[in-house]
Amino acid sequence: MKKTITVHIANFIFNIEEEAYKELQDYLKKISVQFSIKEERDEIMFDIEARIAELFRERLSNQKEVIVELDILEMISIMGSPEEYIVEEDLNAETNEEETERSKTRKNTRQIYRDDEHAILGGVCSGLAAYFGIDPIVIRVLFIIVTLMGGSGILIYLILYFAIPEAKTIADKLKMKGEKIDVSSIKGQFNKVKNEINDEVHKRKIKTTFNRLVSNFVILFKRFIKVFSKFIGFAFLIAGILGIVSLVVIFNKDFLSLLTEQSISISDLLGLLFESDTHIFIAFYSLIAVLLIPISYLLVKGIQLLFGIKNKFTSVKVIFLTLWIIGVCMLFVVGVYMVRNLEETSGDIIQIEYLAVNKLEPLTIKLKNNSIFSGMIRTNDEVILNEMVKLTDSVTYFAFPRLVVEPSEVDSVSIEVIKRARGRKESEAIKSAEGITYDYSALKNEIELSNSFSILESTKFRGQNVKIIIKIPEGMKLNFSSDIEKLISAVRGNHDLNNTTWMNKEGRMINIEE
Amino acid sequence: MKVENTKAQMRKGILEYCILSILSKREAYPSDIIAELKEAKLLVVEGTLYPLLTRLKNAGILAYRWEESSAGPPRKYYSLTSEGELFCQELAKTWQELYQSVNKVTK
Repeated sequence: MKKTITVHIANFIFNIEEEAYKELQDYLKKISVQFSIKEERDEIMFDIEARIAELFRERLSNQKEVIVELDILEMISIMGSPEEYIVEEDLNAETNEEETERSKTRKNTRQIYRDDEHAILGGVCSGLAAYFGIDPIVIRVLFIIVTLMGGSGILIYLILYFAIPEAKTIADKLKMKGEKIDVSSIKGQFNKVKNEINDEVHKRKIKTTFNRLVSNFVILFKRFIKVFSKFIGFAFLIAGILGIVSLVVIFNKDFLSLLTEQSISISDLLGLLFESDTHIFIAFYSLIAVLLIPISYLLVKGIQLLFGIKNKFTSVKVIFLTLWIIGVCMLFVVGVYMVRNLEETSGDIIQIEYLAVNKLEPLTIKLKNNSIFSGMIRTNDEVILNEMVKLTDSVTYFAFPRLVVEPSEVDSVSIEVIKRARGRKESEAIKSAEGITYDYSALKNEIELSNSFSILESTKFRGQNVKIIIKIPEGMKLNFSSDIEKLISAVRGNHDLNNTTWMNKEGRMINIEE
Repeated sequence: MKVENTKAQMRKGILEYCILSILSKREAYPSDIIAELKEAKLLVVEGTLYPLLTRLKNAGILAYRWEESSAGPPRKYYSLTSEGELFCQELAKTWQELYQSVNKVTK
């Protein structure tokens, strides 16, 4: 009784004795390392495996269902020993020395493939695991974690799926688990390069013809590129993954509000800026294309450099480049359209209220208690703007009212609210300005100012802003309360206005020390 | 300098010409080609043929089509492209010249 293994060769299933399987594996491995060009190797190996499958089937019958060692030996006698394959390798193109060196490095390199046999989805995780010699569950858990970050793992998985080739032949599957890659083998590679450089330098000393020098330099340079491309590839890979994660985060409002206090997402912002749904739609998808395509390219290129996969996506590249250019153009068009709305003309709505106050008592300016933007704090001349725009279901709040305190030319206290907006036409601008709501209250000698103004959720951002001008008559005093720092516009200039007192003295506002 | 290497190089050029000649008569499956080559004692193992066919195909000299097979996986039937036919004619000419030259020199 002997143990058998089930394998499939060129899509046919065979029962094969364990010993015979090892021999077959060994045979295919020895053949595959003979071929240096990957695409060519895949095709040749596929043809050879197909022929082996055919030979095996000829040997099987109802009485004989298992491939044994004898079958392998017979197959090898027909197909030839591995050495006989190399007879047709370009003997004239290379010297023997270089040949052996190359086949040595070929044996050492492990290749990345998608492992369909142990796959749950597309074999990306199991392939990566085989490459790094770890349990696939580790990679899968990592992917699940990244997927929890707004689903970016799914996107990364798809890109990897297309970037990593599938292990088609048995030779591929063996390469998938080639020599272990660890610190010592990387070190070994470094030492090898160092030795090669020394060799080249030595050679150059002997043969000083210009051509030799140039070609040596080219070889040297190529080898350098080969080693450093791994590092560059790794950097690309990390940058690509980070890029995709952050992109998904930016485009995903719910996830963003979990991490930061910022409650505005890209789609909200676009909704605020762009006029029609069509424009929002175009801007949104163009933006995704314009950002995602280069990041994906980074990821794919990183994998290709890191794992030494040959580039074969020329047509795909052209398609994505075209998409990217279209995206940029679309963004430009809707962008110009939007900017024109902000730049053409502006319109003002001015409301003036004269306050009945006791002019002998000082006037106090306070922050209104309904603060939307409570997180706005000033420290040492720096304004920390935790939030500047806040969207709710009904209205959009902005944190930009400006406060100006001026000496009055008449003998009364007045508060002037200037609402301003921009638009393609003046009438449109005025309409937008009319849509601004600003809230303040005045009671006796106290003015309470809100630190935000709002527009209806359905209205677009057209550079709306609010300016509040408070005019103080000659000789009257003015107090800023202690929470005035949260009124952003009050902190223009270098003054710390909290708890300060001012007076209109001969037509100028003067800070009175108390 | 190994005599095997020299022999192999001598055989290689001739082998290509022979394969193309076989295919210029009819399209064939690698095993058919092998059978003929074996008969002529030019080649003894099949493995040698596969890389050669792939390279000739990649060079645009050969083309192939798939044919289902009752014995196993589908088979590749190779034939000459028009470029391949020219290539084959060139080789035939060179072979004639070479044959004469070698005969002359070695006489």
